[in-house]
Amino acid sequence: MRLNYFVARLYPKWWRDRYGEEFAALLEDARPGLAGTFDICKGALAMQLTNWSPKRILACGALAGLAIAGVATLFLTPMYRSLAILHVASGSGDKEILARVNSISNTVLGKDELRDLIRKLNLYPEERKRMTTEQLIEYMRNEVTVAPLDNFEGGKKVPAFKVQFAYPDRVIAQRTVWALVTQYIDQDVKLRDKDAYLAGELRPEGGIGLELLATASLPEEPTYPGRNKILFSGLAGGTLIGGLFALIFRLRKAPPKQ
Amino acid sequence: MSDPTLLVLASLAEGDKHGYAMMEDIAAFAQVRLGPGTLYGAITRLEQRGWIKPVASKDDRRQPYRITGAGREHLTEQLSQLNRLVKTGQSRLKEA
Repeated sequence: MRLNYFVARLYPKWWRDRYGEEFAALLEDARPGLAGTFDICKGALAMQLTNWSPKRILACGALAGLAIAGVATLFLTPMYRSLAILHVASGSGDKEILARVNSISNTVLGKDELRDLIRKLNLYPEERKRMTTEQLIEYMRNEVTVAPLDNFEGGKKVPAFKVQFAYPDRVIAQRTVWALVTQYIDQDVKLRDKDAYLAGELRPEGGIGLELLATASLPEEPTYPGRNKILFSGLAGGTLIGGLFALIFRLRKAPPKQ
Repeated sequence: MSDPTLLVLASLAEGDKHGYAMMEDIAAFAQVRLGPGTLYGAITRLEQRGWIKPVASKDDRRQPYRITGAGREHLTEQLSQLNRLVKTGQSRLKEA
């Protein structure tokens, strides 16, 4: 195989000068196949590494890890994040607001509500083929973010919350966020009515008064969730493997450099 | 025994051989087919450690190698260890 002679050129120059002729004679006699080609590649890499400084091995390991991770990220599904902001109208304390939002979240992001939403908006058609309903609900829940925001109006801090959802289709992401914030507001009204009823009041005054401050956005640019983690893992893994190789080859007697 | 350096030393213990002859000999006595990269990796390391040395040959391209005294000592030591391992393993198997 001509390929074997080409691959043999991957050995370092000092090695080819010393063993190149006899190695070529061996290839003529043995005529190795593809497994032999792989073995020559492995041997050439090992021989290159014995002649490299530990720093160079480490740097190459890190770069190779980063490059592999970079290629892996090309296969990530782009996600679009739609965002809406809910403004809290009441003057309740932060703790009370947080408790109320958590209480509403338990309902809106509960099993029944999310299952209905998945059906209504026909979310995750592919995932539905391979996941159970429980898994799908958990999967969707992981893509929803509800978090407090620092919102200032007229120099005064007014509590607000963001509701965010990521999905491969930007229009569906927007529709889902819209459906979620509608449910947040509905639930808040229900709770306020309940509070008012329990307090014997005719008008609801005890709730936190969720209002829509910014409607669900239609995202323009996609995001790639986990890309930074993958790149960092590639870099860390490559550095670790490079470090191990550097250690192994340092323990071996290094051949003379030429 | 699958350490390529030991296989090469064991092959050369019989007499001088070039790369392909070693490969065939090892395949015959150990049923292990060393790839060219693995074989020459072992040859390189063994020569650097002074356990084998090249010898003059009529064929310019097929370079034969010879085991040195240090190489023979190392092989003897390694084989003794293996021998102890084999004996221990066999006796324990009989006891079980």
